[in-house]
Amino acid sequence: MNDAVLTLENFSVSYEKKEVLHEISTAIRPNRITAIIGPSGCGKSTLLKSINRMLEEEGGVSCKGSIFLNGQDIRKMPVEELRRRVGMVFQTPAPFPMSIYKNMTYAPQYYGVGKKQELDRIVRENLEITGLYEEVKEELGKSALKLSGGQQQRLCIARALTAQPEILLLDEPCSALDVKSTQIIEDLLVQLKQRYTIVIVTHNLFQARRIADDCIFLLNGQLWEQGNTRELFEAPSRQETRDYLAGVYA
Amino acid sequence: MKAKILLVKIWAVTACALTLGIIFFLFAYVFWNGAEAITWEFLTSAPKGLVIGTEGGILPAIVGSAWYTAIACGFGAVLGIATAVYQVFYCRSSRISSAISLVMQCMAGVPSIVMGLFGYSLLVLALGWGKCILAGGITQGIMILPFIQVRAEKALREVDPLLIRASYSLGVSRAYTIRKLVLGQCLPQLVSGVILGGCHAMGAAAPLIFTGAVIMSKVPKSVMKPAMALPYHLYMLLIQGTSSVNAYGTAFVMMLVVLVANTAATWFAWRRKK
Ligand SMILES: Nc1ncnc2c1ncn2[C@@H]1O[C@H](COP(=O)(O)OP(=O)(O)O)[C@@H](O)[C@H]1O
Ligand SMILES: [Mg+2]
Repeated sequence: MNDAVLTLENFSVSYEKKEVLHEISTAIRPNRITAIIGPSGCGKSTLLKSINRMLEEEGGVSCKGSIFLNGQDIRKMPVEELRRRVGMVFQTPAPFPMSIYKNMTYAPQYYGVGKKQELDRIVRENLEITGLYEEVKEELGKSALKLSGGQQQRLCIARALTAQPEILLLDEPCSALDVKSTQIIEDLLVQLKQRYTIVIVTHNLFQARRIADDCIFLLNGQLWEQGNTRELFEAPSRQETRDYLAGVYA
Repeated sequence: MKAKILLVKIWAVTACALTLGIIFFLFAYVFWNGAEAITWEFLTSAPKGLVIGTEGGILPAIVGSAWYTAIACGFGAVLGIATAVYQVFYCRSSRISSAISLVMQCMAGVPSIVMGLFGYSLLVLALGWGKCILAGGITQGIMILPFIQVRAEKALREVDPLLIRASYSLGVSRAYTIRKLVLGQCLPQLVSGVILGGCHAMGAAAPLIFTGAVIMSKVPKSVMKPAMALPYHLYMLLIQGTSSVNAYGTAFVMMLVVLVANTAATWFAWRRKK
């Protein structure tokens, strides 16, 4: 597992007194899609938020154990650097209430890109990656809130890419979307894994099966089983995993 | 049960009508009585007469009040909004944040004449500024600080936390998030809070009595000089009891400014909601 980009070692999380993640140890490999699956309330979102330390924004949280990004302890990194390198897309699309163009230049301007030409290029390239450019190129000045749900979510992915991350975390990115938009985003993620490492939380087992290379099955805050998606789905080694995949918990 | 509900309804409607009635009467009465004093000359000349203010106008008081209010707004806005930003975005402990709110509430409860005494002893005496516009404006600014802070805090807390998380997740700093995202979202409410605070300051004579307001001055040229103020001028006219027409005229001007400013503030905040 030396080639892992992310390594978790005995990582535990408690809200106030209640421990919701228990000693998670795992490694996430580069240029692959890793799906985190499990029944609702098992700690999937908490695990994801730990990776970019978004968890710190909530009060009363304490963590034990460590997470390493390319061998570097994330708690010793400046949180802003960590979050630039580890992008995040949320369950509900969260475009900023400004134009599409401004959504896309928000991060680059912070990182010091000032030239109009350069900004234009960043906007175009990242929108092209998400396939949104053809749809909105005539109206980049339009409010991002006027886009459809699926377009908004793709904009959020494109916006996350403008910070040039290495890893992309997605928390049930399709749960608010229709089938067609879901399909587009799944295709997009599969294509993105050539450049980025992707960790996606999903309660949609079909989705996990369709796009994920690796799967992590969480149950009651414990890492119950993990492995190659096909192997996990076809030959789970523990009874609870088998039950979950058969829909017992759902 | 039915009767009870009806009773409550009647009570609520009556109270509402009475409140509106009183306010309407107040404005109508002052405007009615003050209208005859309002002439171009009244607005653009200095007070004159054997007893000051019985003749002539109120120009120095208008300009003075504009100065006091501007300084109060500036001072109150900078400190009030900064405090709210700290509470909402930087303070990690809810206990500290509650403590700040408690202090602000206590400050809001301090009588304005006591604020005046505070300004007098600190700014006028201890710092040796003497009675001047700056001292008066800052005293008023301290008075409206909690007023602005409460509204700013409310506006900042209303910003969708999801957007703020989305911004942080791009690796940008808190300061950038506040500047580019948050302020854009709640600027109208912040501005309207400051305007309402300014109206409150403009109408208050008590903080100025010891710190800046004088019975008679020229149109002020420096903030280190004392100046007339509308509420104080009104107060003087009333206790002299010699020129009720000019008193009503002065009140008319003050209430007109408050009315216009309030309307602007409401419109500003309302436009944001759309
Ligand atoms: N801010 C919080 N404060 C307290 N408990 C929380 C908080 N967020 C989540 N939890 C609890 O932690 C557990 C895991 O939550 P979460 O990670 O959101 O689960 P999932 O995403 O798998 O549905 C749940 O039992 C939930 O009630
Ligand atoms: Mg979740």
